[in-house]
Amino acid sequence: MSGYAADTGALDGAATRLRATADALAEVTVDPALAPLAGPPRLAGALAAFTEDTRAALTSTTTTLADAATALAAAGAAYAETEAEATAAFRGHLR
Amino acid sequence: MTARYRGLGFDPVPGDPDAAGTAAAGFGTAADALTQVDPAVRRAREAAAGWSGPAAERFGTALDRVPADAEARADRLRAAAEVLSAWAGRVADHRRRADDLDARAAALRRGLAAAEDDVHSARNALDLASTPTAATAAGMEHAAAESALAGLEDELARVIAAARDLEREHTAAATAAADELDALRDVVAVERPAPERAIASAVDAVSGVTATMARLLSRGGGGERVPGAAAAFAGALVPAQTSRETIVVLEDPRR
Repeated sequence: MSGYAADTGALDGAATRLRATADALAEVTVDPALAPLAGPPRLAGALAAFTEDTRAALTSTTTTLADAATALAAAGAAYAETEAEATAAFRGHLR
Repeated sequence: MTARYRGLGFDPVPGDPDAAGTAAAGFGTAADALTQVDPAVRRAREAAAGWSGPAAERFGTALDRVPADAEARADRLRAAAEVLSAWAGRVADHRRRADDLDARAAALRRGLAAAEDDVHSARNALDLASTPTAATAAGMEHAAAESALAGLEDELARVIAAARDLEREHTAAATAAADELDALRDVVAVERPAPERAIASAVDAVSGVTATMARLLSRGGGGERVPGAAAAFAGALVPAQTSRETIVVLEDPRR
């Protein structure tokens, strides 16, 4: 499709959803302080490692989602601007 | 010695069910949040489908960086939450049993202290007996006190042994839970190159190059001298090639 057929409402909605998902992930608490309390050292170590993996994954996913939301919002804004300029040029041409 | 199990003298069931339960809940919440990632990404791709241009490309690049395994990771987090929930239940059950054993051990220790006093008193009475009749009676009393003391010691030993059995059961359950968590982590580890493997590969490569260089240099001593560094290197390569040995080339471990 051409850039002129993009649905800016859909882009905004998708960007908002990406942002909301990133925010929801950012609010998740996976507390590393719980691992030493959970049980014997073998279990505490395994839980600490799993927790660390999870925290890293959540951070990575949150960051990349937020970046994608920002990029999508920028794309939507760029489209809206392009469309406005094209519309103005078209009207000017008609006059 | 732990304050919780003074009667036993050791904690046979380390672990806090609340901590394990809270960790399980956290993983469950994380799984729920991750479940929202793929639909959000799909919707974004659909919204921008077919659009071209620099802004669209930047968005596509940004979206490609979002980990594609969110749903699989959510499944693993739910599995981990189940493991921890089961463990929390196990710890609570083990604690109840340990509490019971500890209460019995504490009562036995109090009984032992009293029984030791009885033995000492009986011993004193026996030592101070002034007549054969009194000595016989004191002797019987002393023997009974010692027998009671031994009985309590045996009973305490049985309780301690039961606590050790419980400790072994607890440790085995903890190890099983840890193995399950590790297995869930291993799935993750397969998805990205382990730093250890990259380091090992680099070390192997460096070792190979070092060995090759050593062979080249050791042959260089008897060869004819050639002017220039490039010619010297080419000259050093010739013996290695004519001997049909493999020349190891350093590989980039980042590839």
